[in-house]
Amino acid sequence: MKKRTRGEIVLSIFLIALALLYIVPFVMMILGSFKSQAEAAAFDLSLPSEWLFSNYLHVLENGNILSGYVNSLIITVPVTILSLLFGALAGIVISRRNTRVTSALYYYFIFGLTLTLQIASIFFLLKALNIYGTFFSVICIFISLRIPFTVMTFCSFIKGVPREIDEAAIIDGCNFWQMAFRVLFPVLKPIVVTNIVITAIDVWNNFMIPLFYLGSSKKATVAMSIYSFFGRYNRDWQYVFGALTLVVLPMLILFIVLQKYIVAGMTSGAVKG
Amino acid sequence: MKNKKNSIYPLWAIAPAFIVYTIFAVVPIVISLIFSFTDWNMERLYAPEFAGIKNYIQLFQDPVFLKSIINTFIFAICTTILKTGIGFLLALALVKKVAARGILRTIYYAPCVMSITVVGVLFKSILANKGLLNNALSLLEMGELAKDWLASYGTAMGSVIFVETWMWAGFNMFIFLSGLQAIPADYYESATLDGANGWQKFRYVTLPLIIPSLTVVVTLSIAGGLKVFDIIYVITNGGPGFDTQVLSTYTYQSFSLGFLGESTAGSIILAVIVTFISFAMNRYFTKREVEM
Amino acid sequence: MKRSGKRIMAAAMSLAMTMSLAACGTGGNDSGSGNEKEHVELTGMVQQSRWYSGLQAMVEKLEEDENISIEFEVIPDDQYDNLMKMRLNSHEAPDLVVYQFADLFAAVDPEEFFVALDDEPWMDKVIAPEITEYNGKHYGYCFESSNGFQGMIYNKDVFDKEGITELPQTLDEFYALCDKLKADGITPIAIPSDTWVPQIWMTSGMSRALGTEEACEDFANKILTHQAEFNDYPEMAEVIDEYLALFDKGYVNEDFMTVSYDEILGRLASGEIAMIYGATEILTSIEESYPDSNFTIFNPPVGYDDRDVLAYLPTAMGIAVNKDTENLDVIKEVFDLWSTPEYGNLYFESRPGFPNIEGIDGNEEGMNPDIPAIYNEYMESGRVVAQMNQYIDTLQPLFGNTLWVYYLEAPSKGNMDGKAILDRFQKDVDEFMTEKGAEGWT
Repeated sequence: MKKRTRGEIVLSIFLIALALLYIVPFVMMILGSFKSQAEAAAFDLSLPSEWLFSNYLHVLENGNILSGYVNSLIITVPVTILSLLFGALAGIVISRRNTRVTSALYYYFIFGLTLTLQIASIFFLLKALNIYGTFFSVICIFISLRIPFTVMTFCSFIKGVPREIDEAAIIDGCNFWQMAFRVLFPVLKPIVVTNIVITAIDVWNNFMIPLFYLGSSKKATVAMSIYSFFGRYNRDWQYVFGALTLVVLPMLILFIVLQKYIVAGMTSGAVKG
Repeated sequence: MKNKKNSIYPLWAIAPAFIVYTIFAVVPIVISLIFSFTDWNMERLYAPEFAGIKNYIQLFQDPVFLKSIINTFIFAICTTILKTGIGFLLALALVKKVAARGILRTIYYAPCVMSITVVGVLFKSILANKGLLNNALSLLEMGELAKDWLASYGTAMGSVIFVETWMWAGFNMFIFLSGLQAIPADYYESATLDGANGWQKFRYVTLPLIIPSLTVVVTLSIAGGLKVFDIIYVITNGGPGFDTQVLSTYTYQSFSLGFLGESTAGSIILAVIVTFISFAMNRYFTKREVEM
Repeated sequence: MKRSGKRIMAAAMSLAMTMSLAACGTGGNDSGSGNEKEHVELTGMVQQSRWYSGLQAMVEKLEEDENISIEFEVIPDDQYDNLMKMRLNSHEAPDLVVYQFADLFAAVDPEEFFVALDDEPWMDKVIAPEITEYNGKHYGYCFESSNGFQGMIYNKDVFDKEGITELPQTLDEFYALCDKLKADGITPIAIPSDTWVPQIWMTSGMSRALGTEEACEDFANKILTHQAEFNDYPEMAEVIDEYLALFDKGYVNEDFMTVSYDEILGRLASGEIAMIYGATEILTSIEESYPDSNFTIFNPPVGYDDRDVLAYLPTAMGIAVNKDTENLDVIKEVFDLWSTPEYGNLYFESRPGFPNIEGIDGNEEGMNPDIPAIYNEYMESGRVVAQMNQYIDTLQPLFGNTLWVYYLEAPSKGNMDGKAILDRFQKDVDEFMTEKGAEGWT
């Protein structure tokens, strides 16, 4: 191992200082969630004079956070799996066939990256299909929003995987499914993980779509339940900080656990545009 | 020959993605397109009548709408430059062997894991007149720099641009990082043998090979910047007054008023702008990739 | 077009005062044996800011004693109107819709969407039935008979410390008071960035400037049928200009563009700011959040109202029943229960108010005694008028998105005076009414 040069030490110090600034909002939120009401309302970075873990107990008991978690999972898990599956299959075929039709399809999907949420039109559509207010409709909307990115990343990733792998698999008697799942998916692991993380975070945090299309408090996601929480505790910042921490935590953990795959996923995937 | 090879990959495998995407993403925009030529209103949810291009004319006569177009571009350009620039610099720094590299990467990425509602609440309390930032400034005896950050156009716009950069620079860093790591080490070695200095190595090895990452980052950033909604909505809600209103908050506001026709017309204009610019950018960069 | 009965309202309100002062909880009737009942679940929607602890307590008790649960969906205020209209129009709304009455009728057509509750037994005990009345029928269960009145809320401790014993009687005296406070380092007047607070100056002032209910009704009628425009009445711009003058004189907290309502209440409680033009509802909120504070309210002198008129709020939070509900019988049972003191009193436990049902205790011991005192004084001399927003409530969807924003934009940028604001708002009104296809614009 080489020793660090002086330049690298200066750089390290600078990067660490910047990182400390970067996490100020997190620190304020997490410290605040353990403080008393008066201390939390001061909005500073001091340590709590007493660590009040009971704040979290209060938030969990009164904030519908747990049922929010369940509902968020009901939406996030199927969206993550299905958008990955649909997007990956489409991406593989579009990229491999490489004909005029698939190239047109590619641009058709990519067009989705430029779309904004059509609140009223989607409402109109869901009514027409008679699926308004269901988890199913919200899941479908999310999948449709995620597909462009998934297709784009898989298309470019696949280009870097030699065709020979597929052909060998077919010669060995695999059908398309077996080839896709047993042979290609393991190779594609980095881009799969990248998509899982990005999709899960995006869906978990989204607040507008469930609000407009779920239509019942029983189905409220965790991002929504913090709103009913604000309504009651708008002066109790310690509880608000606690609730915010609980919303952010699962995705933060997911990201930390899976992050080492992401760089690899992007290296060979998104890079090639 | 090609056809035979292609038959391994059945077209129907595209069908699930195609169907869901078409129904839930494309059909709504088509509905919007059609209804943008009607007098669609919350009061007449099921009985819109054809109104020609009236909605479009009305939009372009509204100074707030025109201002929101300008704001949209300011926001998209500034954040794209900052997010790309900072992301790239961070990536260059973090491919080096610096202390605590893994933790630093995680920290720089972490903001984009946050829910936007959480970011909104946190930054409003940081940027408030008696918020964390001003408290810190007066603690550092720079109290005269303290101001009511979200109260005037310049600082409010600057604040949302700053927060957007804070959220997404780390994401871009990851894309660049992976691009940098994909450059084989022997490219640099042979450059060193040829007597190239640090700058030349950067210019003739790093830069050309990083262009594909740059294409992705810039395209995603510019499209995201033009479409921006939630960060503005949670931090300034278009204020003070209508100063930081952007296209998507504008269309949301006319939706709130029940002007569905006008709102859909606004979102169609936005979609056209975003599509045109993203594709143009993508073209431009793809061409550069070849040239360099 | 306009609903009638503002005056009956006023009478009912003073009745409510005396009723609630006299009522000593007529005792809870038995609500029947509860626990073996089959579980029923109702749904509802409520605004974030109206999800009061009193209502929550009533819902909880209902679940414990009667096995009826109400799943209220709590919705951020700024998205509430949209969602409510979309869901009602598409018959996807929940069983119960919480809203401000009678503002609700300006947002949606009650005859189309809501159940008339005229035959309910508790209707006989309703103190202010006209709040929920539309074309002779009644479409809601209101908790309160009124939201009180508007006026200047002030921190008494601050006034005492400053040696202010006499409340100002004229505009000049009011300015002198503000100057004195300002000289001593106290910000005289609080304005938060939540637009519904500063607009109280105008909705109150415009009605006070017109002076009588008849004049207000006539004004609204002309405005809403396009027979007149706002600037045909110069006193309207005058009201706004007087409000804008507060900023020029430096009486207002400097961060009015960003500071939140909650933060402002804290500053009022700490004595950093002395006054806020608000309503009795806000006074109650301050007292609820800062029990040690010492606040009260008075009707401030203004330059455009020589008669010293009081603006009141003939509105109240209530619940409308969705016509599509499959549980109408259960809902009727719920209202029967809620109209008993056993339940009804819960609503007022932490927020004293004016109950809408005879026999319910509004917790008047908890209420600031100046509230009924002031109200009765003005009522007896006939110097009351409803706030302007009530008369022109057809335009309600526009307020928060246009006019109220101008009220903060103008002092921040100094780009508009009262007349310019109203000219700009008139354009919004024209567009809105044309879109709506209203009479007088088509």
